[in-house]
Amino acid sequence: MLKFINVSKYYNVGEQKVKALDDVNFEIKKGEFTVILGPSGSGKSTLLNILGGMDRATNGKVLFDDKEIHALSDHQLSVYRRAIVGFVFQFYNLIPSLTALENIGIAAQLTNNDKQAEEFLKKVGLENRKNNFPNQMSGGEMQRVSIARALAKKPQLLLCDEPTGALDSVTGKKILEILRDAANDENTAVVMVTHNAEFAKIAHKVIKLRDGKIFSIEENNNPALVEEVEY
Amino acid sequence: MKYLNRKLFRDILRNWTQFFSVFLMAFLSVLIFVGLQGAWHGLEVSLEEYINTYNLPDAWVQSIVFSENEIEQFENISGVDTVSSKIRVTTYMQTDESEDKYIILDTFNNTEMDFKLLEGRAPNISEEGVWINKEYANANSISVNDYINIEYGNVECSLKVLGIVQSADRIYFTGTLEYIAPNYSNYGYGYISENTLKNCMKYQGGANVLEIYGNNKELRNMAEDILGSKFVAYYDRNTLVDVSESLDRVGQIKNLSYMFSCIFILLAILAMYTTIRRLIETQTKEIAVLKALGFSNIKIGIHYAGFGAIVGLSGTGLGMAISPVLSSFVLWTQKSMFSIAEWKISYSLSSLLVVLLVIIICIVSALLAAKDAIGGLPALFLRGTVEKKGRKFILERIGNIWERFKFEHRWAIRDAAANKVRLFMGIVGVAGGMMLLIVGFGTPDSINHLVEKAYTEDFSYDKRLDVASYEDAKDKYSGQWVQISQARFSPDDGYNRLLIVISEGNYVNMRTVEGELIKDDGVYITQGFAERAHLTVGDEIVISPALYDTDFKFTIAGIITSETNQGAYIMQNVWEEAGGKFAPRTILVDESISNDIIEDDKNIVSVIEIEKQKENAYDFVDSLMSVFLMIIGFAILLVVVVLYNLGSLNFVERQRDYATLRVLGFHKNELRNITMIENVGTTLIGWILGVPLGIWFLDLYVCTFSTIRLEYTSYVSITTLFFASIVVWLASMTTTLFVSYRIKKLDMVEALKGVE
Repeated sequence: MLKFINVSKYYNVGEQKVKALDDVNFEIKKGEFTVILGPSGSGKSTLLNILGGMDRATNGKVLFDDKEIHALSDHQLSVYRRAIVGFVFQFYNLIPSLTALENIGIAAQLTNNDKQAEEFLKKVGLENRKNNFPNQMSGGEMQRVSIARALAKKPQLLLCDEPTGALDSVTGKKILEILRDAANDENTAVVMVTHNAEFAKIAHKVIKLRDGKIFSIEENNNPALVEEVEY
Repeated sequence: MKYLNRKLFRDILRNWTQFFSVFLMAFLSVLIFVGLQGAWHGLEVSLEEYINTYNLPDAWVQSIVFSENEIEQFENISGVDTVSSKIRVTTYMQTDESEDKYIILDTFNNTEMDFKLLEGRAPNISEEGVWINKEYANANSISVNDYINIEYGNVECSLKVLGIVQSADRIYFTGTLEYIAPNYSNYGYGYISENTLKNCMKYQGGANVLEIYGNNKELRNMAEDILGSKFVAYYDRNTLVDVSESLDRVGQIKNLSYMFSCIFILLAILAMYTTIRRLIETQTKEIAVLKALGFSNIKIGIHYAGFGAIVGLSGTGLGMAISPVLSSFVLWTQKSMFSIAEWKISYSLSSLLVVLLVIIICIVSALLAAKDAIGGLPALFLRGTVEKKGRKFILERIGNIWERFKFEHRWAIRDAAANKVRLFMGIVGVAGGMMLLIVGFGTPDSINHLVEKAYTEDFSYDKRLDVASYEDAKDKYSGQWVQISQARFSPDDGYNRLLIVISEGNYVNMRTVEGELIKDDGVYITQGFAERAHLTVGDEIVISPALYDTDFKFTIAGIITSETNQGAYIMQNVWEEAGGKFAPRTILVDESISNDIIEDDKNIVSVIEIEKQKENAYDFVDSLMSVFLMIIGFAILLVVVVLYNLGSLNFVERQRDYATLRVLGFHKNELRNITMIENVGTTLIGWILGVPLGIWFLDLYVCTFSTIRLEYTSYVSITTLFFASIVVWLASMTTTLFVSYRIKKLDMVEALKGVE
């Protein structure tokens, strides 16, 4: 479904050239829950941004169902993000002046799913908070709305950047549960970036990054349950 | 503080666009207020000095002739210090040109002259010759020692030009009431000794003008009582056009300065306040860092006040430095209209107060913006994850309307409602800009309309001929006869006005407020006079015309909408039925009376073509045009800066939301549409408010031009509204383009990273 072939990404910081990704190769399949692990500065977020069409690779190819993502125009990338990708951020990025339901609706309408916005809110257990604004919700609730917003577009690829990074263990586990369900039930490819190695247990695939390079790729045919994770 | 100061300057350099807009507002506020004040206060001071130095009389009385006894009676009026008599005659200067050239000559008896000698020999009653005014001399290429041929009655006289002069009682010299603006090429004034007048021009009469120094409120009444049927006219400094126009102009520019600066400064303050606040609010994390490092609240406060102080001081400083240029420019536009000995620029304390106000606003805005972070706990601001508040909008409570809005529109509306200051600034900015633009475009349009109406609709003659004898001319020309004289009206507004008696004809077409022409059912008075004297249709009015011993009582039959020559109109037959004598000296004719016919008729003493009157009136409009262009320029700048600020703030505050929507898959044009809807909404509300406010402001402003003689009324044309609207909407659309450009350049990764 999604292939990274010899992908590199360089940034110019002042007069220096920084290699954020260096000749990265991997593949992600439908319904697969992938965890990308690595310390700070290892290139995790850069990788996620390129996957999501928010950034372009300097070299190499990114293929989604054999379509060359790296060669798409700005407008085509918008279409890709709109139709294929769902994003979950560490700090939620909800629109402050829209209610929980409206935050989901604004994304869902892009794929004509806005009538099901309430359904997605129910899925994350927040149907009684639909008229609340982000500032009236806890961090966990906001992240659930953020996930519901991503899922409401029925994405084929769900990208999550440290989605539990700002949450306590109980709430964090709830979030992991929802993401796992998305992969299992909706056949969505979920890619989660984290620096918490414990989350590797629940993934089908674990990609470890170090200094912009792939350190290892591990396949896991029997992922653990979320309850088993030591947060 | 060394490092804090470095930070301060680097922050200013980094955020120079926002600082520049505050700087620009501070600069423009001061420039406009101080610049215009320099002009009107300068004109006021220049006039005052000129009037005092050259001993301007307080009142003037005209009679057919003054006897010794009458002069003595004037001298004995309490409050009157000095009375000086002179002879005034209107003469013609013979030239090769086809146009008539007139010189109004006054006699002088003293060697201590009351006018300014610019060139030539000092006045001396024993010398035979003439001293003529600078502007007429320049317009007709006359120099000292040249000889000019003067004609008075049927006597011709060649006089040597002994000097070039300027007089304080001829500051705004039109030569005749028929012209609105000076016409230096055709009308001049001069001074001549009584001996020269009598010897060379064979003048037989006595003094016909008294110059009175000193004041008595009843002077007008007393003059009429003393002179009886010999009384011709009475003027004081408020009614003698040659002087009053200049004093009125001070008031006009003063009004312009206050009204325009008031709106401009209010808008500028609003823009400065919001911009500085937003700018400092982006620094809350830095304030928290400084606090965490151990900087005292006072030091941090001084540091942030420095942001306001630097931008305020530099903006106002430059404004003050450039303001003399603006003052000089405004005064320069007036030099073609007014003849003053020395043009000065002068400022008063209020300029300094405005400068201080602008600086204080900048500093206080900065301090207020930093206040929360300075007073709060550093950890709270260091965390930087304070969620913006979402709030329900009032519209959401009304039925299902809210549900019909798209999500992005709900976002835009709630965001606008949550940022009331920003919204208010946008609306007020657009409405204020619209007001200023309507005044900028509308004032010259109103004056042009007045000229067009006066010389196309109200009067439709081709030429007006002044004749020496009505009897000789009445059967010779077909046209409309007009008898013009000064008259006292009771009740009145304290001033003598013109009484105009007209014969049957088609050249005087003024209409009443109800749209009726003047008929033979009573007296018709002009609107300006009616308003000032509180007169209405049906009121009785007593008219005491000059050169009459008797009074006439009439019923007011209508109020006419004429802007020129404020006074009363009456038909010949009504006048004669009441016992008045109809002996007009002016006839209005069409183009069939050719110049050849006129040249052959010695009975015609002067000719004025309506086209010349129109041209002259447009010269008057032109003298103010540069000032209006300046207003338009500043108004455009204001609208652009306010809307640019608004767009910039809008983008900065919602950058994260835009980035999120881009990540969700919104296309750039969809985001542009959202900003456009918001911008259009703000502009629409501002525009809707701005149109009636602008019309009201234009009316208020144009009315300040009104004088005792001329009544100015506002005229709002579609062109004015169209151009004002075009500017506002173009500025608004440009802002949308600017925001969409920034959306286009938005780096989603960076924008979202910033949050963390």
